[in-house]
Order: sequence, then C-alpha cells, then structure tokens
Amino acid sequence: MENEMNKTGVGSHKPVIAGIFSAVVLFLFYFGINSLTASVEHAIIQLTNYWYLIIPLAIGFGIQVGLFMFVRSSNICDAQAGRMVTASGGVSTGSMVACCAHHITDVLPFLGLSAFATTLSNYTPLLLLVGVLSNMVGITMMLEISQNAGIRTRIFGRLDRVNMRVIKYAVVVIAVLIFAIAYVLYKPEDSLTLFEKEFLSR
Amino acid sequence: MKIKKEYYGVIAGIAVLLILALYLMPGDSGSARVAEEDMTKISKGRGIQIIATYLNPKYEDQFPNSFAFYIQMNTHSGDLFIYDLLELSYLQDGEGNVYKPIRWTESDRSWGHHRSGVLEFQKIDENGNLILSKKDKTFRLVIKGIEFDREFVWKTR
Repeated sequence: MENEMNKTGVGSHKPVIAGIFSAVVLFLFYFGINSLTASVEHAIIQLTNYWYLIIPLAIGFGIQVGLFMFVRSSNICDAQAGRMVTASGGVSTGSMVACCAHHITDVLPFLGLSAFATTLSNYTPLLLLVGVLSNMVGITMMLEISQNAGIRTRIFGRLDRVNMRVIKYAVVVIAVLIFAIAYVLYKPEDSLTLFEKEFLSR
Repeated sequence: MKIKKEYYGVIAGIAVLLILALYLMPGDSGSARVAEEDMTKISKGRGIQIIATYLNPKYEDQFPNSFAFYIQMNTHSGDLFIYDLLELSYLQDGEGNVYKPIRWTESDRSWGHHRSGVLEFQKIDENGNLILSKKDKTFRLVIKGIEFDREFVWKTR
C-alpha cells in the first residue's frame, strides 16, 4: 500500500532539501579546500574564474542526490542508484579539488606528485567540465531508474512519454562530443596564454 | 546482469574519452611549444617561483620601442608585493653592459601569492644604439634579492 502511494505521487520535501543541502555542501567543500590550502582570496579568484562550471557542478550534484533520495523514499532501494550518486559525487569533488591540488602538495610532499598536481591545475576548466558532464549523465541514469521503477509524480509522470534509456545514451554521446571539442580547443594556461588574457584582451 | 548493462553507455563514453585524450594529447615536440619554451625561463626558489617570458619574438608589434618580459611570481606563503621589480631588475647584454628597466605594468589579476606583469627596457640607448644587437650571442635578465639573485638567460639567433 505504501509503495503504491509513493508510486502514484505522494512525496515529501525531503529529496528537495537533501539536494539543496548536498549542492551547498559540495560548494562549501570546494571553497573550504581552496581557502585552507591557499587563501580565501585565492578561493574567491578561482570562483570568479570558473563560476560558470562550479555552480552547474554543485547544482547537478544536488539534483542527483535529490533524485536518489526520491528513489529511496519510494522504498525501491536501488543499489545502482546509490553507486551512481557515490561515483558522481567522487568525480564532482575530485574535479573541484584538482584545481587546488598543487597547494595540497605543500603538506603532502610526495616525490613527483608536485609536477603531476601542477599539470592537473593547468587543466582545471577541463576537469570541472568532466564533473559537469558526469552529472548530466548521472541525472539521466537516475531518471531512468525512476522510470524503470514506475515511480510516478507530477514531474516524473511526464517523463513516461520519453524513453529515458534512449535519452541517457544520447546524453552520453553528447557529453563525449562536448568534452572532445573542449579538449581540442582548450589551451592550457601557459605563460603566453596568461599574458594575452591579462594584457591583450583588455 | 541488468546492472552491468546499465553501465555499458558510461563505460563506452569513458573509453572514448580516454582514447580521445591520448590521441589528442599535445606532445612536447610541437613547433609552437618549442618556440614558447625558448621564450620562457623558470627559476625555482625555496618558496618563490619566478617565470620570465621574453615577449618580443612573438609580440614585437606590441612593444616596438622596448624589450618586454612577462614576469610571473608564485608562492604559497608571504606577500609578493614587497618586491619592487623596477628596483631589483636589470638587463645585461653579451658585453656585460647593464640596463635598468623603464616600466613595470602590474596585472589586474595580481595578488599576494600570484603576481604578474610586464617589465620593459628601452630598446635604444642614449647614443641611439640598439642595446641588444645581433652580435650578442646571449643576454640575461637579472632579478636581485628574491631569495637569491635570479638569472634568466636567452640565446639570440
């Protein structure tokens, strides 16, 4: 009976609250790790430079967590959904941390790690983009799980008109294409790129 | 079994990403990269890294009357604004003649731990001669007293 009620659209605000909370926590984690490893000023500069990727990343992760909570509240305990949120959360957090990884090497002076971390920080926008794209894929996978489980609400009811499995594969292909194009067009922030950005694009 | 199927798309996507990344990864032998490496010199200190890039070979039109260097200073602690690059820097030609800079233009993005700007030297001396002529096989930019004296040496063609 309870399952039936949930499947026909009886929900709570818990998934929405969990989603917003997760997005805020991920955002604060990013800001905190940048502030701790460098400075608050550095964190603000990073945020100013990459807000267009960081904000969608946090929002996307929040949506995924919200969807996961919704699936779980339907008493259809889906292990795959849990793994998806964990994996996507890892990618989101990892891509956010990568941009300040070169500061972490100050306290973790492993041999050879510094150069690797510096290289990672040169590719910050691409790493953040991977996080955003993985969120896009994760959200469609979560929606597919919801659809397969037959969960119906005012929102998900409309999704029955489309095949989420097809949408999911389409999003994967689009995500791969977006990354490939971004990778080809991306110029790492070497000295000349920075000079042009700071002095020639005024 | 069903769960594995769900991952096929993601696994395929990641595989394509990796293959693309490996295929498109810029190598170190590209002509532009080599040219840039010739222009850029790095001095790593105990806590402060300084990068000097000689700009004229690529941006001569931007600096028709000066020799210009893009300077980046990076540190994890301390305030880099205590260093006056106009005071601390000089250019030395192949014969040992020393020239002081005429201009420092600070970047809008400079802050305590990451500072950058353009350091310029007059191209012509008071006698109307080019300060770096073709006979100089090398020239050096020296920045004194930032942990130690930093020397950046370029070979002329």
